Amino acid sequence: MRSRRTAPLEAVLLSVLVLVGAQACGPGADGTPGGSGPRTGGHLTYAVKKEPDCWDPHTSAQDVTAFVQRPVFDSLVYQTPDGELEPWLAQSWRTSEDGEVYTFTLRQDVTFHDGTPLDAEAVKANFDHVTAKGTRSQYAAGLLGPYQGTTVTGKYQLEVRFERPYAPFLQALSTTYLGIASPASLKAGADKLCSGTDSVGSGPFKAGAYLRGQQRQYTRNPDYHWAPEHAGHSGPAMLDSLTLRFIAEDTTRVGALTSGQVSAIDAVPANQAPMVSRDPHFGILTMDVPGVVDTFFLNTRSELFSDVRVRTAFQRAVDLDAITKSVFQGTGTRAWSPLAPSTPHSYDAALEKSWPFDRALAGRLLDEAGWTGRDAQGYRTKDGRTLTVVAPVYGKPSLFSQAVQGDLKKSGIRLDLAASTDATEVAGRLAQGRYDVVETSWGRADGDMLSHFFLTTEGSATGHNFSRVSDPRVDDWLRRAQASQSPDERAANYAEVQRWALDQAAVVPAYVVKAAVGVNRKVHGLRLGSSAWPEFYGAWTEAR
Amino acid sequence: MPALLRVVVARLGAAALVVWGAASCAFLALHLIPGDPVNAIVGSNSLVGDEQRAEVRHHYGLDQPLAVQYLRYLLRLAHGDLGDSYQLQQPVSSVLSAQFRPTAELALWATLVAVALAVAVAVLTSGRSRLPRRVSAAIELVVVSTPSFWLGIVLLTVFSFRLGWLPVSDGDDVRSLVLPVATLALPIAAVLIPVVREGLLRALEQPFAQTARARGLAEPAVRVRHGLRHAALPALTLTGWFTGTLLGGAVVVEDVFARSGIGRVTLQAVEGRDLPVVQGVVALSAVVFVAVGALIEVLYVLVDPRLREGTGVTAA
Repeated sequence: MRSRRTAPLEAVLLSVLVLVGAQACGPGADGTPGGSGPRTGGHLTYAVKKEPDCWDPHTSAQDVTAFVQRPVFDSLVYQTPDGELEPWLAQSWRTSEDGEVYTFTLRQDVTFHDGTPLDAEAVKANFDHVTAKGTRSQYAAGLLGPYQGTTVTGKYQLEVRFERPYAPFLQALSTTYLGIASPASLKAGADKLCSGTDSVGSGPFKAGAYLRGQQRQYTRNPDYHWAPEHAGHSGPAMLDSLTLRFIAEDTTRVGALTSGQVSAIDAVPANQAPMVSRDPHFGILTMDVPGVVDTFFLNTRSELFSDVRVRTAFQRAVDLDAITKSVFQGTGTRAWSPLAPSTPHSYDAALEKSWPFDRALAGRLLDEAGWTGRDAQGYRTKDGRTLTVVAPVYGKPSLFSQAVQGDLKKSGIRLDLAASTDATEVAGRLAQGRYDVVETSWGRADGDMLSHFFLTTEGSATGHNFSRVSDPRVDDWLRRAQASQSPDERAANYAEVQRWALDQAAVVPAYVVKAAVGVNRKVHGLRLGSSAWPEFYGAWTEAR
Repeated sequence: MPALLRVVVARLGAAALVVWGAASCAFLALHLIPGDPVNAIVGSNSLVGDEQRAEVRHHYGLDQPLAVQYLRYLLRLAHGDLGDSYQLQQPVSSVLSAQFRPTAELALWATLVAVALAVAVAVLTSGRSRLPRRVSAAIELVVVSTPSFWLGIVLLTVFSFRLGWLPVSDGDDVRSLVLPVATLALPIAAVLIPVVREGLLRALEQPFAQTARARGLAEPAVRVRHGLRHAALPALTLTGWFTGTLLGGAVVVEDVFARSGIGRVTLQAVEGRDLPVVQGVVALSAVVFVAVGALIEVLYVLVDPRLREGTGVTAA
């Protein structure tokens, strides 16, 4: 039995799965290695770096929660690894003329792990749970945007209404955060749902025993036959069972892989990746994480950065090509836009090479802005003050930001990585605008990520408008993109925002965040999904 | 009997005082850090509106004045209720009770191994020859000065990754306890060995040791049966003191060996500023300290007959 795969998807897979290593045949890229075909049965142990705080995807904002619950919860819509949306639990949907109402028709043959069938009431119960006050949703409710309410219009039909047209809804719906749980399980209460022991969905795997700090078990759902078309497989999952182990320490996780104690691990550190991929027994799956790349957001209202010349100088003074190359040991990709190239229907490729490193230009701009003096350490000064850029950092500054710090020094700019181990202190600084720059990234396979960072209504206190941008044009582009059902029109508006952000030097996009999953070559069919986290549905292991 | 009752009541009172003091210090220290805890609760990459924030603030009682929050906290603590975790969104008491066993197991085994190792090495190196003592002292110094994080990584790399003798961590496999226990026990043993040996050597110079030898008792028996008892008291004090080391070490060891337990939860809670969990861990540690202290006192009496009443001898 061969896994069913269509030709375009094959091409997509080959393009996203970069196999580092000597062997041409790697895990996930080819279904038929060494003569033995795909095998049903078997077990896979996967080590994850992070462990969810709260396991309820309706509550949690953590990407790891979406990952660990993906095998358990299906969604109405599926997003393929190349970002296209297709039916899953919803057989079909249509949007009203004004774009404010979505009508979904559900599959009629789906049952949850507790035996109850999926119907429109069940879906409504999920949206009600997401938006309920007591759920204290940190992300899912936000993803629903201007959500107004849901009406059940038939046993398998429902309408979801919005206050204004909201095109990002369909992609949001495809994430685990808006995954559909058995309505009975949702009554267990927030603490039960968060504890990860009461997860009941309709996914290819059923949630099994969980011990915090150790592992969670999954067993195959033998009744599963409602996979989306491009899931890379159909029918019940290939694996009998799956175990996710939580190993936070990098050395331990990599050692567990290379000594064969686990079959795959996530977050292979850049400095250990060559060691792993040199070994013929292992491969590394990598994929650019879609969404907002690692970006420096310049506070356009801070005393220092309210001058666009100083912002532009900061933007052009960093040799990002060289730093990315050295920090990620040749495996990194520098960014040209705040969006990753892998973000579907929104990346503006025209920005590439449009703002190259130019230290001379940076120097001229700083001279113009009056930063002409020099202090004893070689930093520029103006009226006796040193040119200091304050960057609040939670925890330890990354190797990357330290490299940027070193590079900026050459232009006389002092980057103060104000490290703090206290999340609240950093959050307080952000809320009060007491910073010049914030470095962050945020993965999501939709261009609407830009709205979270650039809409006037966001702000740096409760939102993520770290550049503290308030420009009617930007708001207009973002609202238009949200209102349009045409992918091309949305892309055009997002392109305007990306161009504006770079022209105004409101951002310095740094590098594209990459997922790096180390895989034992006995594992096949493990692929990275639209959010660059592995999908276990089509995975299988060679017999030992 | 009333005397005994008085002792017990005084003991319990003192214990309550210790727990109250520790809990209050933790509460004040954590709440006096500037900044809004709601930010820590909702995390960084989240989409939470002002209304939701208000709901979160209200749910955890953070909209109350600090004094009210403190009194509520004490009242709940008195009832054994440690509140709800900000991040795990579950009762702290259920989180801690679920994680207590693996850490207790680890700490207990580490203590036993450390003591056994200390006694064995001390007995073997307290002979007349100086060489074993010097070799042992050198090794002790190296082990004590090795960060336990690094020690753990080295043990893992050698015995698990290279030789494949022992698993990294597997809840069902007893063998997975060996390396974490060794990582915790070795530094403690390295501190205990010189103390036990010193006590042993001093005891063996005493006249009663001469007498025992004169009676024709073999040297090992002299050391174990007569010397060790004398060396045990200071070692016992030190072992009790190591309770703190064990709790701190559990944080490192559980992280490196990917074990579940209080240490792992503590690390996560401190990083995410999960105040209820941190306060819960502090209260739990205080209770453990008090309990271990009481246990050590009982052991003193068992080990040293001079401390027992009515034996006719008084402690030196």
